[in-house]
Amino acid sequence: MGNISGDLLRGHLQTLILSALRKGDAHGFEILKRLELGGSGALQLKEGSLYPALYKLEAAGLVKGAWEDGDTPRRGPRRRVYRITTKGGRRLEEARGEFQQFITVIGGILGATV
Amino acid sequence: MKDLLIHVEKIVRPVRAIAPRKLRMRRELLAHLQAALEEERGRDGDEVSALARAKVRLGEPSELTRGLQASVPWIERMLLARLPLPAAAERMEKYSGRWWKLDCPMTMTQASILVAGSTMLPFIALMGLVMGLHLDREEAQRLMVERPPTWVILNLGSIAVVLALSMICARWIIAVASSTKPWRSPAAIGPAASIIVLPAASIVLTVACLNRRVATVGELFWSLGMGLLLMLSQAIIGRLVATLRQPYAEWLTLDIAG
Repeated sequence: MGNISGDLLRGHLQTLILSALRKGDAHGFEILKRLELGGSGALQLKEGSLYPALYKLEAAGLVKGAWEDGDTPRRGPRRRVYRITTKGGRRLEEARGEFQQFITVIGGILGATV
Repeated sequence: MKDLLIHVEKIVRPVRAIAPRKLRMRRELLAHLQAALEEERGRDGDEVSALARAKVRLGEPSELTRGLQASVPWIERMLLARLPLPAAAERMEKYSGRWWKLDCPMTMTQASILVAGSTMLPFIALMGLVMGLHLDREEAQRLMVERPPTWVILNLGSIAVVLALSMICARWIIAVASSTKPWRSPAAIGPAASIIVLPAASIVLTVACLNRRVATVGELFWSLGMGLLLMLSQAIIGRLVATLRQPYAEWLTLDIAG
């Protein structure tokens, strides 16, 4: 399986993040790990690009972030933990429907098995 | 650790956004980079190559800066946009920044507090000083008519005192903000003493010009008291700036040019 990166990912990253957060609250690095696991290693994401996408999602009210507790037994700077909001959940369902339609239509044109 | 901080700062510093937003970006990217570094260390014990790989994983700094900039609300981007200025204005800004000590790394809020404190408070203190002295106003009016050059010199002198006091106050605020024990710092003692002495000196000259007499002990005590009050109020502003600066200081003082 070829790698999926750059332009192919653009436009889908926010939905992918919402999907990763559906599995539970997570900080940036954990979200990335979930995406890597879900993509079976085929997703080639510049890790830093996750954060602008998270900030946009938060500004749109689709996710909500909070700094983890100071008493977390962990070295290093505090992390911001994100959770999907009800609005974010609705947006994810919409995006799934849209993507399903997209692959049905485009897959049909290209003659790919859907 | 410093390498990580510098790499993050290279990404975040050029972003036009309010300071708390940038601080949040810094902290999140640093936490991520540190996690990536720990993972890379597990693969290969070599610290240098692990650090290089962690940086590559994060992405190209200029690309990340663009991405982060795009995530900032448009109103904030617009308000913080740097307008192109003529070279002469840029030079003047740099020069005046040095005089007012605004070239010390700080956020916009901290600089605003410093400028407001070092310009408004001396003005208020001098106004209070003059009003409390009950200077002979008729004499002042007569001086204006009879000896215009003296009147002009007195006014120019007052403007110079206000400007000098503002500059000294800014230096004192910075000295208090930068040190936990400013009274031990030579950079702080000079401005602190000047803030107390300068109003008294200006009153001695004003009374001599206006009323043609030597300032009384009461007037001297009043002006020294006002100077002391001004110095203490500026110290409070300095501590406030220091408190606000604390989470940012580590980042703002990083040299990212290398």
